[in-house]
Amino acid sequence: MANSAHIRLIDPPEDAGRTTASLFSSLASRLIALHYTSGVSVIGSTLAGLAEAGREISKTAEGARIRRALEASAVKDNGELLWSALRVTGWTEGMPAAPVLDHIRNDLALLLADDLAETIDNVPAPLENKVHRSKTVPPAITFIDTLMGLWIHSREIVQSVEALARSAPERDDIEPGDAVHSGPILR
Amino acid sequence: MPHDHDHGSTPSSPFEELMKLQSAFQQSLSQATMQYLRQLQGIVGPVTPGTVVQQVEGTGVTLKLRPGGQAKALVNVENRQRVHSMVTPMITPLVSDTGATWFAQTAFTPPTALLATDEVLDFALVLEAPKDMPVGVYRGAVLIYGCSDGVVPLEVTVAKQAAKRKAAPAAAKAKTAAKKAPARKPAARKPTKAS
Repeated sequence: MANSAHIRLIDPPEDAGRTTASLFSSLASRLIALHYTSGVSVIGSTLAGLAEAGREISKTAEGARIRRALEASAVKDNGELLWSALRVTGWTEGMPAAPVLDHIRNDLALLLADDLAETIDNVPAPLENKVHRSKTVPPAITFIDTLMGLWIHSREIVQSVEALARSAPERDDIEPGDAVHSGPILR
Repeated sequence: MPHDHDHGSTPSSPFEELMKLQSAFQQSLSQATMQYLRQLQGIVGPVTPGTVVQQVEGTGVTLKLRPGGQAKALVNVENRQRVHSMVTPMITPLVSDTGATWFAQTAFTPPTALLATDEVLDFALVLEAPKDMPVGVYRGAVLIYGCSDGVVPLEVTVAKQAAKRKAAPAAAKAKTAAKKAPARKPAARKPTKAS
């Protein structure tokens, strides 16, 4: 072992991989699916996705510290009370978790793709829907999981937009304007 | 027939009981049907391509530091996907052999980066141990948040500074001096060229 590591980001072996075409098809499919999905399903799926993101970030040191602080405060008890009174856990039970962070990252990559125009012209239809690998019954959505997911989801959006801005050509903070010409009023 | 004298309620007829039962059954049926449909929706859905982390070299990262001290490491990340990837390195809580969990304060520089296709970037990790940190070997992992299936093992040894060396006894000093100055061997003569 040493004090350095070298890693690669690669495509999952069984998937088509992240390409401009696959990301565009995925986005198109998501938008088309909205037309035959109820609003409560969309919201529920998003909540489930946020809760899953919250559970994942809670496994990191930074996430775990924040979660511990939240759990030690009144936030957790009040949140769970609200959740229970409004029966959120009940109506979200069994909702499939939307991969909310992957959506942000994939949409960000589309915005930076060099071949987006050609891809849109060439991709005729969205990717076929895929039967998801069978997973165990998703755990019940808790308030604290969803709150953690909201935190990391928001941070991801903030970091993504800031990264986009950094990748753009630098501009001066001061933008020159036209000279002011003195006239009958300005003497 | 049940009759609640305390609350003064009128006795419910069998027909009313049947209607209550029927309503409860229909409510349960509609709830179960909606849940089933939602689960069905989740089984078949749009594909969302993801990212996997593959460790290329070595068996992980190992660091040593003392309580109150600092250690540094480097995580070199290469994007082999065909589109940009957002990279946010993080570490998991570190657990010692005694079961103590360390929610380490870490700083990665840069904290996050957008890597283009085939771009390579070094992320510098600085790990700080609290002053009252119990000594031991702590184990966890470095991960790229949001990427599945791939972590880099991380081992951190927290030890107090080694005690200062005491003055060596005379015999040991002499032995050390003898080792440092080996007997000189006569220099080998190089053969001279025949004129």
